[in-house]
Amino acid sequence: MVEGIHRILEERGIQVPEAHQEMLAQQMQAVQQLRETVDNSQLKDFDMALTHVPGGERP
Amino acid sequence: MNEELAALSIEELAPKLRDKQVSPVELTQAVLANVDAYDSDINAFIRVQKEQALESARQAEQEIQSGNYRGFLHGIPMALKDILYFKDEPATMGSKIHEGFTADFDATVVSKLKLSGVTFHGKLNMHEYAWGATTTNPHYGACKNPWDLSKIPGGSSGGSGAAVASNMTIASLGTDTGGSVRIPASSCGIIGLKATHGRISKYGCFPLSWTLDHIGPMTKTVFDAALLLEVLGGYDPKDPTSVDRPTQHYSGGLNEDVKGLVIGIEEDYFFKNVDKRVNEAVQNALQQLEKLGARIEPVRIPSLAQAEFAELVTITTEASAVHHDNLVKQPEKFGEDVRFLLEVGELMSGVDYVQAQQIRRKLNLDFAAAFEKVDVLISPTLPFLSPPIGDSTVDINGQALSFLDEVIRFTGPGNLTGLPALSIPCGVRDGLPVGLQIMGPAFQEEKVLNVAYALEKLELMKGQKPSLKVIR
Repeated sequence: MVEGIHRILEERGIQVPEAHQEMLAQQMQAVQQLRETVDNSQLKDFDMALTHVPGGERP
Repeated sequence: MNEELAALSIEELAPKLRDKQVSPVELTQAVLANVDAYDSDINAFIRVQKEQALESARQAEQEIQSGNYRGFLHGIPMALKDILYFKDEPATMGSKIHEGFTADFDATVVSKLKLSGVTFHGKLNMHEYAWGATTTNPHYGACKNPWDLSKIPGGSSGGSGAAVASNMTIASLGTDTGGSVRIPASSCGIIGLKATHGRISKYGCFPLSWTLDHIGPMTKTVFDAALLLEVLGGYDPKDPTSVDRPTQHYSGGLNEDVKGLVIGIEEDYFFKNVDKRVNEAVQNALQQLEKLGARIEPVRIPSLAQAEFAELVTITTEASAVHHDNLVKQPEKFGEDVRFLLEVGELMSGVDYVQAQQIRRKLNLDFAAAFEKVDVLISPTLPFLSPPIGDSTVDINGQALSFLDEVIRFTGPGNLTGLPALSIPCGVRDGLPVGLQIMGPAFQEEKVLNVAYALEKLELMKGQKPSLKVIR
């Protein structure tokens, strides 16, 4: 996982300090646990409701 | 006399200023004297603007003397979080990267306060770019909690919380993306109000996370928070998330009568894993409200189980988009903690982000359903008492838990849904204040303010304040 994270960030032009590599792997494991709290079958009917005002918001 | 003046609220000071019993210059000098006395220990200020403040106070004095009193805020000294733009003045956002940045326009909230005659006397310390909740700032020094200098004041608006609590300013503004107005308000024993998303314009506030960011008053009293909401609220075409809904005369409508009020309690989420001292203080406040005629009603909001995912994904992703270029080009200029969180945000997927927004919609519908049964929801603001500066974990009933995970657990849902939420102190335990959070239906800030007003009248703090003389 550490190598994968390093590669993804490097491809995005981000230098990752060595001290962060293991911490990032742990954090992403925690994110993975949180992902498991998401029941996608319950969310299917929910529009993400991201709205932009056609024509812009200025009068 | 100076100490006493600076300890007063806007509500107490305004009639004295209007009736010329107190001059704005005298009041500003009193506040600045406290900054001189306490800030070398507390470190709430990034910049003190003494001369500018005294000049502005002299102008306010002349205006009032000549019969041009503008209203409650005229001649009131305020210092704001250093993330709000003042035309031709530096704004650091608590960062090294923006150290030399000067804004070329006023934030809408700043314009409104200037029009009201506020005297500005400095810019306040904050967590770097508002991305954190300790205000242990690597560039401007750690801000300390006036109740106990070894503890954090909360954040990200920690300077605002500490300055108001130590009478180094009369009132302040903070910004709140996961709880950054309410967390320092709770930690420092003051009022912090996050109004409905869209109620107060964010134009001229450096973003952390566009869809979660709010600006809110941090004050000594509920009346002062209501008053500032009246001044700051209202539609602003310059902010694309501003909502055109009428505001109210919130301070005039304050009513401590809670007879018949239905208070919702969501035990599964908002009362789980809470420090027993915090829980005891909040339960005591609930019992007091019941004695006044309010009714407690249990409610369930099952989608709260997914709130932590939605908050983490939304805030990290949006913040990393804001700071992407600097993370690529000058990452060494960020503090270690902020740099780490920005790296985390780069790793979230597009699907994560969309699912987080779907969860927010479900949360909004679930909260709306709950508010059909109850008037307000009450919870602790934080599940713990302020931890020592430098700790990355918090102790909750003997269990060491991640500070970052715990700190926004109860406040984050207010940002995800955009619902109004206020923190009010409800007691002191082991020398530290405990905050109680009141959430209400969208655009019904008056309900939240009224319950807070009733709690304030109960005097649950028993007049306790930080021991500033100890600092001096």
